[in-house]
Amino acid sequence: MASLWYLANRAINRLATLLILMLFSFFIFEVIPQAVGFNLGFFFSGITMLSPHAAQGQLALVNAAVQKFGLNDPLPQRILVFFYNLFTLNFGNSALFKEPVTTAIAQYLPNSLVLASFSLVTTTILAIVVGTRAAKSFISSKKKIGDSALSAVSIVTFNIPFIVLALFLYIVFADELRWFPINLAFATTNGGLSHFSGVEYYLRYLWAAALPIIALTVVGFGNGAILIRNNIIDEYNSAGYVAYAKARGISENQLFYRHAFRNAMLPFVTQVGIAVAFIVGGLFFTEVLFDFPGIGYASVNAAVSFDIPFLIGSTFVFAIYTLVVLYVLDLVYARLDPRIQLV
Amino acid sequence: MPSATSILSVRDLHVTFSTPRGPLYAVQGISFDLGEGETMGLVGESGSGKSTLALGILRLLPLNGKWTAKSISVMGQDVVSMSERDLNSAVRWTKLAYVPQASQNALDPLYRVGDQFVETVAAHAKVEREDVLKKAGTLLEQVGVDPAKLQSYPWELSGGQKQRVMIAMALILEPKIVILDEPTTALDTIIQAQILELFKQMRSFQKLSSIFISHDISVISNIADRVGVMYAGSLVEMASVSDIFKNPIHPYTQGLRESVPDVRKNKPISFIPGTPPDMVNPPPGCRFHPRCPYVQEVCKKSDPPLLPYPGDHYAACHFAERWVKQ
Repeated sequence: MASLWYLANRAINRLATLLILMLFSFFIFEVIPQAVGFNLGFFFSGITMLSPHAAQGQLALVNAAVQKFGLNDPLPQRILVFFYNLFTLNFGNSALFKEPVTTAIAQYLPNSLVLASFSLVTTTILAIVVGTRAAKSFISSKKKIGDSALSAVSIVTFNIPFIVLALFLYIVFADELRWFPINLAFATTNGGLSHFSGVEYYLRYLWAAALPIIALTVVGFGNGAILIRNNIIDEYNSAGYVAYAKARGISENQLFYRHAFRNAMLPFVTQVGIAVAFIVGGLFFTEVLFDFPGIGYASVNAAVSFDIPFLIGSTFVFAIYTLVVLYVLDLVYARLDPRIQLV
Repeated sequence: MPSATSILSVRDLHVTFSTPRGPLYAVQGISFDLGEGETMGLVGESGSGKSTLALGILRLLPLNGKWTAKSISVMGQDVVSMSERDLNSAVRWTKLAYVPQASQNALDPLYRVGDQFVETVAAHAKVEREDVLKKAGTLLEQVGVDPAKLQSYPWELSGGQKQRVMIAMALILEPKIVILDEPTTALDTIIQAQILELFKQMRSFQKLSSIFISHDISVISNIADRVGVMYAGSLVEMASVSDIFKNPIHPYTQGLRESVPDVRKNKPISFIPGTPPDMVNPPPGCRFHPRCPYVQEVCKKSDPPLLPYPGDHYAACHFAERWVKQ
């Protein structure tokens, strides 16, 4: 098991990443709009459109926001205030949702977590199963048909543009065939006709979540599957310890799983980190396309209406989610590779 | 070369690798016998097929390698037609163990040394984990490694320690035959001398027969009873260690002997000009003819067979008679 030092080291590392990310978001959401002449007070006061006929009362609101969030303070001071607000979860009010940003995020976050976490798990499992099967076929079968088929599927699905696949799935399976609901609200209320609760509610929820999860999984698993396949084949054929284990009379299954597979998993864990980034990015498309109200969906709407406080909040939440998953992967890596303790 | 007490006999072993340029003939029809208790040295340049010969006998070739043989018999048991499963249960490690060339990364970095001993024994017999570790500890002590290292990971050991662990690992199931492939090449001379000494002790202690592969003639002359010289995938000469170095027949062996630097004499180091042949397109006739100082027309056309000469001395040269001591 990993040493305490390693855990602390990785935590500090991830925390530093978070700070740098949020510094970027500060510049993008607060400094750049100001630099091009927007009065940030408008966005923070809940007034979305800059109107020439702004009423006196509105201007007062704007000025109050400028005061409250210190928007005209010197930059270093603003950065400190910005981070203080982030870590005290004080994002201000959302103009679009007419409520505190934290409340809005709390409402949308669970839907995104379901999509991201489920598709991360299915993508990972599918990549491991397909990659391992393909490698097994390559190593032990003469004609390697299994490998050819699985590799082809992995490469083709990985290269389908996500938006094309998502639209195709939605139009065919939700719109035409009606195997899946049109959107989440329709599924959980039966189009406003019924009220579901308990197990039935969750089943209907998953029914609506299934199609976006499938879309994310289909385009996501191929990269990892090919990586695993190639790693296993490479380990099996050229690693000194596999040949040596074979010389010791260890069975083919053990060579494959105990030695080749486990060593091949190490680079894959790193790849899962990349998949996390991909899935989080994909949420924006997915939730809009499938009309699934998560944070990605809300963020797109917020972006269109210049709801900067919400965007800062959602960026922060996405960053934390990604970094937590990456931290868990660090732990998994340390479990798999005893050499990690040295780091 | 049949012998009554042969413990390992190989007949007409061929190994071919498929490469993008075409088939590479790495081992071409090698036959030999290893006597009981005997240490046979195999020398030759890099790429002459020594390691491939070992891997062929152990059936450990990579996927692009194909082998054929009339027979390979280990302690009277023919292994050519054996399935992988039978080979695992009846031959590998219980009778025939191996110390690989790449011993620096032969142990899986993800498992403790002790676990790899346990894994090895578990593949062949039902023995309690504690008993395996106890025996492994005793062996490690014999090879001069602290038994506490069983708790270590391979990458926590030094190069010399790893090499000693490999020798202990080879002996854990008390095999009769050990093939050692360049076991000392990666080590400095002091550790090398220690390992050779250790090997000699273990050999007499466990009554081992062994094949000792090295490109280092001084190591071979120190350790072997009989020496086989390999060139371009074939045995070109085979004789007792004293004959090979005192009365070499094959011009290649003569050149090899001359090319050993002698620190006590201030003479220039001689070497065999040219490089070993490309085994995808080997030269016709005798493989050595492009580099041979005594080459004749016949050498370019026909490949000389390995023939016996007095004193259990074998050589593959058209003009062997010239150098045979009467």
